[in-house]
Amino acid sequence: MSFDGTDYPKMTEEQTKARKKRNMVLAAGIVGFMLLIFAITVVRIQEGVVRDQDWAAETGGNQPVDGVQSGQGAPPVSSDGDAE
Amino acid sequence: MSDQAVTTSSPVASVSDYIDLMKPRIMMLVVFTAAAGLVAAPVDLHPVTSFVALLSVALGSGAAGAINMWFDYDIDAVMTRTSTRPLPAGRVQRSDALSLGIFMSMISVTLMTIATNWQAGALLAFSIFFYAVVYTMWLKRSTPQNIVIGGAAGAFPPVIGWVAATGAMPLEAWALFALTFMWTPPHFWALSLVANKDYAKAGVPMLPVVHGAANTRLQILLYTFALLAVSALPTLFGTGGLIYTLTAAVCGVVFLALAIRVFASKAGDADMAPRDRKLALSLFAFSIAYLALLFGALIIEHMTGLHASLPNYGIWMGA
Repeated sequence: MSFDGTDYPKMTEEQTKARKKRNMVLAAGIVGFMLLIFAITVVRIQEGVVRDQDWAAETGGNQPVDGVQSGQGAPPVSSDGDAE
Repeated sequence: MSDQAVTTSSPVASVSDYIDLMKPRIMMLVVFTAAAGLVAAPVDLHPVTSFVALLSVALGSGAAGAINMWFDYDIDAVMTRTSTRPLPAGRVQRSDALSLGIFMSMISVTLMTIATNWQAGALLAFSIFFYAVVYTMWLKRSTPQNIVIGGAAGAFPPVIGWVAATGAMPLEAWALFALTFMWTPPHFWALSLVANKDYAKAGVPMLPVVHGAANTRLQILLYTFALLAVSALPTLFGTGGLIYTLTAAVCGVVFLALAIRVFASKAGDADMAPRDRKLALSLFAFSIAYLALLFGALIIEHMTGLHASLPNYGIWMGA
């Protein structure tokens, strides 16, 4: 059988509606994923800034502490939430 | 439109079919226990981070469920309880279920890792692997201890929540793991007492099929004793306060009473009466409420600050 551009499977109206609904949900999922990544990025940056500020306040500036060089970020946080 | 166009006759897959692939009821319980681990941990996470962590756990649970349905297509088609699922009913293609499972696995682990830490992402990935591969592809069809060992997959979420908040896995987190781990056998075997003919028909070596209903009822009772002992661990470690302790005590007594009644019944036997069937289903239903109530008590305590105002039960452990 030769393909003349018209003998493709035709979906029923119900199938078309279902596909459209699935596509809408998929689009919403992609947009939601983008928003989540954006929100996570903002929060991570904020946390980093606040932690750096706290650390700077505690140490009196970006002075090297226990071998940690300035610009390497804040000290690690222990499981009980206190800076080690 | 040309007359040559043909109409397809394949069933229509709706959005709800794809949601069903993700086993939403299991997902809810998994998210709930993960939330308990998250709020019980001694570090406050940013609300956005907490939301993404729980969403990741939900997506990971759904991914594991979709892969489970892809692999268990043949079993589900035979069993009455599962024959209407999207795959055996023909509403969703098997390849679609597998793709959804793999895609969501990657999304969930990625989200968890960038939102919290790599340890939480790794543990989430391991729990998906454990459920989809170790339990579904290996244990389920090979040993009557399938849901005992495989229960670990469902016990990881509170630890994942704890790790997401702290980056560490202390004993307090593993106490919550132990609670869910010990809860799984009596929960699942209560259901399998009722559905043992289905499992036998599908060739799944569940405990009642291999060792009989009487042995299963005994095992349910023994695991219930173990569960009650383990339910005291959060109190001893100081994770659970007065509300948790009272909830665990009261619910534990009810759980034990139901387990004893099931043990004394003929649930799962060939001559099982409707009353015996009802008893097993009552235990199954209550077991769901039991876990929700205990973890709910933990969440309430830690979110309302009631836990902090209570005596430190950690002194019981000499801490």
